[in-house]
Amino acid sequence: MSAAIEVRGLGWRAPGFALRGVDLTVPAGAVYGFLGPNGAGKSTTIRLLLGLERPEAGDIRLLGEPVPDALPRILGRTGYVPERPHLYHHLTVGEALDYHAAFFERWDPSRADRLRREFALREASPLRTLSKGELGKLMLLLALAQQPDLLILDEPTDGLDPVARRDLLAALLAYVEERGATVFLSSHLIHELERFADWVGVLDGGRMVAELRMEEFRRGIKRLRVPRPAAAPDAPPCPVLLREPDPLGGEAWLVRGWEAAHAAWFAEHGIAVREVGDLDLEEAFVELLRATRAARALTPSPA
Amino acid sequence: MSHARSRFRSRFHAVLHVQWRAARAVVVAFGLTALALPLVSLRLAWHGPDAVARSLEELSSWGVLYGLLAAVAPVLLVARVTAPDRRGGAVYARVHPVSRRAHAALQLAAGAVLLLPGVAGVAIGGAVAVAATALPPGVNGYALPLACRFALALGFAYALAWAVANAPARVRALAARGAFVGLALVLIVFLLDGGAGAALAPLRAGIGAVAERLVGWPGPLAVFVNRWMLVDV
Repeated sequence: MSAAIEVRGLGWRAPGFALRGVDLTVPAGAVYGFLGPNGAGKSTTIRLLLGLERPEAGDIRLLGEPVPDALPRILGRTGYVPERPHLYHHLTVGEALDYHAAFFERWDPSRADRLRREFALREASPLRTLSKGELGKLMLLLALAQQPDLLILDEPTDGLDPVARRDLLAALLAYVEERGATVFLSSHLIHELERFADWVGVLDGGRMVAELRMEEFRRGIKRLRVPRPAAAPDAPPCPVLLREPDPLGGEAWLVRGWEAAHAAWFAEHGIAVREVGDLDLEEAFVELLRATRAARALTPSPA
Repeated sequence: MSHARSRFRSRFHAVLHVQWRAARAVVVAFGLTALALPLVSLRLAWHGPDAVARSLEELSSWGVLYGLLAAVAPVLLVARVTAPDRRGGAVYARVHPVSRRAHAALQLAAGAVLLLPGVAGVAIGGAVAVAATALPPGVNGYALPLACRFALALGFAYALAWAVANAPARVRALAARGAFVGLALVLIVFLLDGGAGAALAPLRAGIGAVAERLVGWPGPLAVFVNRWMLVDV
């Protein structure tokens, strides 16, 4: 399977924050949810992908081409919706469309016009008078009408009301269905991603914590109730991410990649698993972050 | 027409339109001022064929306004046209599918086009003013050379303003601080009189020499301050 985004060993540093050794693989045609708490480095990673920042280490390839060497070609096939509106506010909607169209060779005027009507954006409206939701819609309109193969969206629905959010996601999904484009969507709104992302990457404190299929992420992380915990077994079939006291007695273990057959393996090693609990995506995300942070706290950081 | 050429044209028109919408007040005011300056200056300074020397002297004192206009208009224009990108951290401009060099060239060229009404204003205003004035033999109108020199001064100020506006924030801050400290130093040195002021005389002479280098030919600021004469012998 070819990758629309391939990042290896990405490093970047600013006062008080650093990205360290970030690896990402976004398969072509996937909807990839890029999760992470605020300040994890999601927007910085996106800025690096688009050549807006220069990495200190690592390689980035978008649509099979290297960043930044092939940026103009890559950007011609990439639609970007930033976290904060960046358009020229002294223009009207119609002028903003004309300006954008001049730069993108694959611009589709009929799609632009249809989306503009769907989003109820008047051509004569000055951008400075648009609400946050309307600006979000306009930015998505611009990104979709340029008919990109790759869409990079940085918290596109953050701060929008539910109606605007629904319209925006519906337009995005319709485009993906029609064109088979790859979507890289950063968000901290986990339930939103759960509905349509088929891959998930989790970033925390400037490091990738996990990258896996949504199904694996949703079903693979379980909470085991272990009433009489023993020492952690060597080389368990699924990694034990976290052990903590269970309010019901014994311990609760957080494991990744759980399968039913693993219960027998634990029993053979003298560990009775009383209950295997499912976690919803948000719980799984939170538990994963907790486990990673706990493991990180035990590991001395490099000087 | 080749595809690349037509693409360049459409992009150039798009950038020009965006800049015009951002700076049209500055462009219109600049064009009108440039048109009015030669008309008004010659009308007020010219006292007829019997007072040529006095008229030329007065006209010369009006000349400083050309230099001032040529220095200020590009700064205002650049401030206006670069404001939208500065506000958005230039993210929008940088995600266009063109190289940074090509994008900068498009913006620079579009801004230069917006300065043309000012040059045309000086040329037309100067030509009309000269045509409407009965000049005695030996006194000539120089509307076109004046407009050419005005264009040269504009180009110099525009390039400088563009370079500062598009420099990294650290360089811009350094330039602003340098200008402020320099100005403060000059004011202190020239306002102090007697006592400590007398001790500053060598410094004063040094500043004078530097100023002379800057504004005298072929100093970089000579194009702004030397005589601007619409009518001369």
